[in-house]
Amino acid sequence: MLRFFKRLFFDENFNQKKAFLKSLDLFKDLTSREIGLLAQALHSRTYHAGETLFLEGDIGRALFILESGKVELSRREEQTGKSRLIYTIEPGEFFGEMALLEQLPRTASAVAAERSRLYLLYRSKLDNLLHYYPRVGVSIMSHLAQLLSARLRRASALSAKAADAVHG
Amino acid sequence: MAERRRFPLVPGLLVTAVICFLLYHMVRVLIPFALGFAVAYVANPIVSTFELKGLRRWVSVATLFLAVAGAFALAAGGLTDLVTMQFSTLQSSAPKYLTDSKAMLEGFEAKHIRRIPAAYRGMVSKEVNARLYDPLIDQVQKIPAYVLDLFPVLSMALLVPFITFFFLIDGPGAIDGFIQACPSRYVEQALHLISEIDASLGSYLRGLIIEALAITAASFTGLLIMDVNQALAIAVIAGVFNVVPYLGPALGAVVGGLVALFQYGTIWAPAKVLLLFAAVKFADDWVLQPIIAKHSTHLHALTLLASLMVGEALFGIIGMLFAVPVVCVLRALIKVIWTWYSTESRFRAPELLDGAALPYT
Repeated sequence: MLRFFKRLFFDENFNQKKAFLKSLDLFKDLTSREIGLLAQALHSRTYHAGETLFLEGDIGRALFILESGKVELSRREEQTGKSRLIYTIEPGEFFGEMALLEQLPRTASAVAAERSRLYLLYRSKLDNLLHYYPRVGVSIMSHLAQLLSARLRRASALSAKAADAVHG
Repeated sequence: MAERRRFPLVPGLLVTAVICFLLYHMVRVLIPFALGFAVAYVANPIVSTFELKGLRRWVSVATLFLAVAGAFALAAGGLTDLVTMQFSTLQSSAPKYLTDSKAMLEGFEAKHIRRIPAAYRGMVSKEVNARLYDPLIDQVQKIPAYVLDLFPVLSMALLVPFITFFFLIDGPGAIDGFIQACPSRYVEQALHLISEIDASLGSYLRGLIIEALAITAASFTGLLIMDVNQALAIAVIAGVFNVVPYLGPALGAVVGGLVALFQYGTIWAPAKVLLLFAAVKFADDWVLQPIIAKHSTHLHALTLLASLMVGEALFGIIGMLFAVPVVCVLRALIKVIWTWYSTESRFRAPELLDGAALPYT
């Protein structure tokens, strides 16, 4: 009986969405209420297999979080002009975060490899969170900054290794 | 590099033209929907707060409606009686005010008409009557009709909550539906557009409510201090009709001024009321608006005026009511198109931050 009323009055989908977001590293420091605020700021969309999310060179305006399915990131090679798969996004991973920091052309194309459900965080929604709920916004921005730092460190190490290889 | 996206200018203009045509011919049908949308928009943050607790949206909306109905039921016994009483007093006093005004004007005429040669008195009196009294009395008598002309909106008292209910229930689902219907590659642009309209319209509506409450409170306080009759009714008129910029205080000054004139019988009383509403509007423009504008998109006074004139010319009073929100939406649309055009066309080169050339340490 209690379960019936709970199902009648409480939104299971919203709670599942919150649980999914809470499981992501990007939002791990947020409280349940803050995760709820974030869940309200996200938009969801289902992409069919083969649908293009964005192409390399498009101006980025949103962060994508993959809930289910698979999304392939590919980049066009300058010499051959052919597209090369660089990464396959799995559920629970996010991409396109650069759009939250600056409006620059995307560095890769994203295509749904199978039917995929994604959450989109638009830049101005994050700005709103930063304005009205600074803790939420700062936590996300701080995690993004750490991620960028890690990637830059990795890129520096790779370029140093490549330079060493060239110079013997 | 991938194929550039071009702004679909011709299809965009065609769609806009069709929408404008339909809106122009269906505006009266759309009024309850527009009002329902506005109410739902303002009430949405309350529903969202309930939603945060994990409640289903229909539960939150039903709770809100029950709470509002309860509040109305409570108010019906108290505040509504008071306002109704004040309005009915105002209505019953109107004929007396008119008679007094005619007597006052007749006294003025009798005093000054003696100076005119007897042969011309009849003709002058007739002319004055035809050119001054009759149009004046005619217009004064029409004031309640003008006010009542605005009240068909209230006849939608049942329809608007009904529509509001469904707008609130659907809420974000409708936006997600729109995003789902967009071609996949234009989803980010659709989000951009929704976000800009949301920011522009949201801040306008929230600002409007704050303004209406502030104008009602300030006018009521001022009128109470001046001891003007029907202070609450006049203040409510000023606050409510402020949905059309400048109309509320102007209407408050006219109605309040007439009440004060016939209550005190001197020119100073309406002058004070006029000053009060001028001060209220001044404080609104110079104190309240800058505070509201901090969190909203501020429209230039000339833009406001032009939009009101165009709205009035196209759709009358209803056009004036919706002129500013429509301008907000149009402005958001233009902003989005321009941002799209400028960024996609690389008009705005990305700025290189100071220190970007330094090694990562």
